[in-house]
Amino acid sequence: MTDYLLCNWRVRSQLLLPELLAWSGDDRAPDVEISLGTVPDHLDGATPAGPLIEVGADNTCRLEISRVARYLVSGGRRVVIQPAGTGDDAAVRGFLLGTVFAMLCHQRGLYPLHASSVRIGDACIAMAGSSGIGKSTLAATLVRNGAVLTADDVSVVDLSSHASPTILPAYPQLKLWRNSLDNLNIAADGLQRVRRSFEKFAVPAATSFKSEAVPLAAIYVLHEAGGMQHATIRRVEKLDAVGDLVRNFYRPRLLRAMGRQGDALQAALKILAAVPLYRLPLARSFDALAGIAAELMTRHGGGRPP
Amino acid sequence: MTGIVWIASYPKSGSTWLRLALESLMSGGAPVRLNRATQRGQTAPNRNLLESVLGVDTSELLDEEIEELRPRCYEAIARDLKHQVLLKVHDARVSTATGEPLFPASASAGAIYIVRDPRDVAVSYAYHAGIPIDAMIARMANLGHVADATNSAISSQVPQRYLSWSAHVESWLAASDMPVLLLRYEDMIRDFAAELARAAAFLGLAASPETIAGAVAATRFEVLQAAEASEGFGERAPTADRFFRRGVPGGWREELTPVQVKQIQHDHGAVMRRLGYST
Repeated sequence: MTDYLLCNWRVRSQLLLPELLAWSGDDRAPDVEISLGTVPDHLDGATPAGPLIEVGADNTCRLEISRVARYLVSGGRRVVIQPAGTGDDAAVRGFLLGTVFAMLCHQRGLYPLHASSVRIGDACIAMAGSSGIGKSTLAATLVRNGAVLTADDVSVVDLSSHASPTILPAYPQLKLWRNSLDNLNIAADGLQRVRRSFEKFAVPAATSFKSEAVPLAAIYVLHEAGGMQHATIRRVEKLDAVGDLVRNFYRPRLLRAMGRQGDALQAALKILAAVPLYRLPLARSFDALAGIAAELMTRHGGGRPP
Repeated sequence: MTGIVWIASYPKSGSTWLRLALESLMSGGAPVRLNRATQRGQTAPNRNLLESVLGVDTSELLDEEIEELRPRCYEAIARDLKHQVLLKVHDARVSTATGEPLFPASASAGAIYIVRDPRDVAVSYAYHAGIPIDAMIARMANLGHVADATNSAISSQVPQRYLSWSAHVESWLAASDMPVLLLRYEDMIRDFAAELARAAAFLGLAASPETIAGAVAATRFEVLQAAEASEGFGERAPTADRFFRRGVPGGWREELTPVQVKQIQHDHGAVMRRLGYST
């Protein structure tokens, strides 16, 4: 078994996890253990959080996607996976490094955002928003412009220190659909598909990836620009900002089932006291995206011609 | 009436207009704002809506997995409701691979289904989608048509099965497990106050003549066109330069060739006659 790095955790896994960097830190005991085994049909006395997830005692979580795997996640440190046997290993890992990863964060008192994040200079920006809006493609464009990836899809906010909120970098990989790959001139050959039949690929982004926590400088909530002629980035404050932020935690229904809405609200207030939140309208065009990327680089002091 | 009310139609048949008018009605006849944030999640196949229930990334789920999970999502949404919620939908009323309705009766308070002359739909939809009218006529006859199919990218909506225009109409009108109100776009143009009053009564919404008049005024075509010009409209497709374009019933006479008219009537004549459209 190989040990891996995920956030600042030492992860021991029975499953190969090529997305993660190998552990090269100290000789501590593993922080998280992932094993293959049997997962029960249901958790006793559990609260359902939607059709796929149950939350039981001590916030133990059960996730099942019937054609992929069952996952049992407990104590922020143990994951048991029972693959469905369809042989789609990439999919097993995909949900592990997405929803299950977020469950571990919640169990550890961290605050995962549904966001991609990049480091520009000494600080991080997080780009939150619905699936398909363009978070990963925008992050990839920023990386092309000189930013360093800290996370794609699940960006972990750590509020445990007395200083301002930080992002704990997750793992150096982006998931991009073929259209985005083509636009960025990245070849798909040799890249792993995230799910067998899909034109969505895992793109390594390990250049300059560092695992130290990075101060969070801004949160951008992406939304569709619609027909707006002059769509500008605008700062959002007070109740609107709290609403935007809480809606973009990974995931509100899970938070409620784990009894963490109160904590999440407190966390949102603490984050917003130190970090500005903006709404960023994004038109569905790669040109618009390139323009936004350049603007973000300039705003955060990383501006140089692409 | 609690639960989900489906505002259903084949595309370009007036469901957006009705949705805006119902929202105005529910705000006492107030003017409409085209891009209210809460509106964006109010379509049945919206990814964000489904993910808010599922807790996983839908872009990593197979089309058949998503389709099987949608009835469960709608049930979960309906369970949380204390009143009714309107969800706009262009899917045909199909069954999933396991044989259950995509839109489960247990989650549904009912449906308002809007139809429009398919000859006008062909013209409007071709413009909206940025494809030639002949291609759109072929699409409307294609039982296998899937909107927002996942290929090299995803959209904000999960894939939806439209069936053909005729099969779409028949699928919704065949619903025996929930009340369905049928409205015709042409009747809405002729006397929107009356049609809106029917919709309000169906939904159990109190609506005085003043409120109805307000909603009708707020959603007059010229008003909506002007609003789109000044604030944009999120429902405009990237392939079209406007969403609120023309809307005149019978406009097809000036835009379709006799061959195209004949094709549509060949493909959809039975349902057209059933709905009272002359062929």
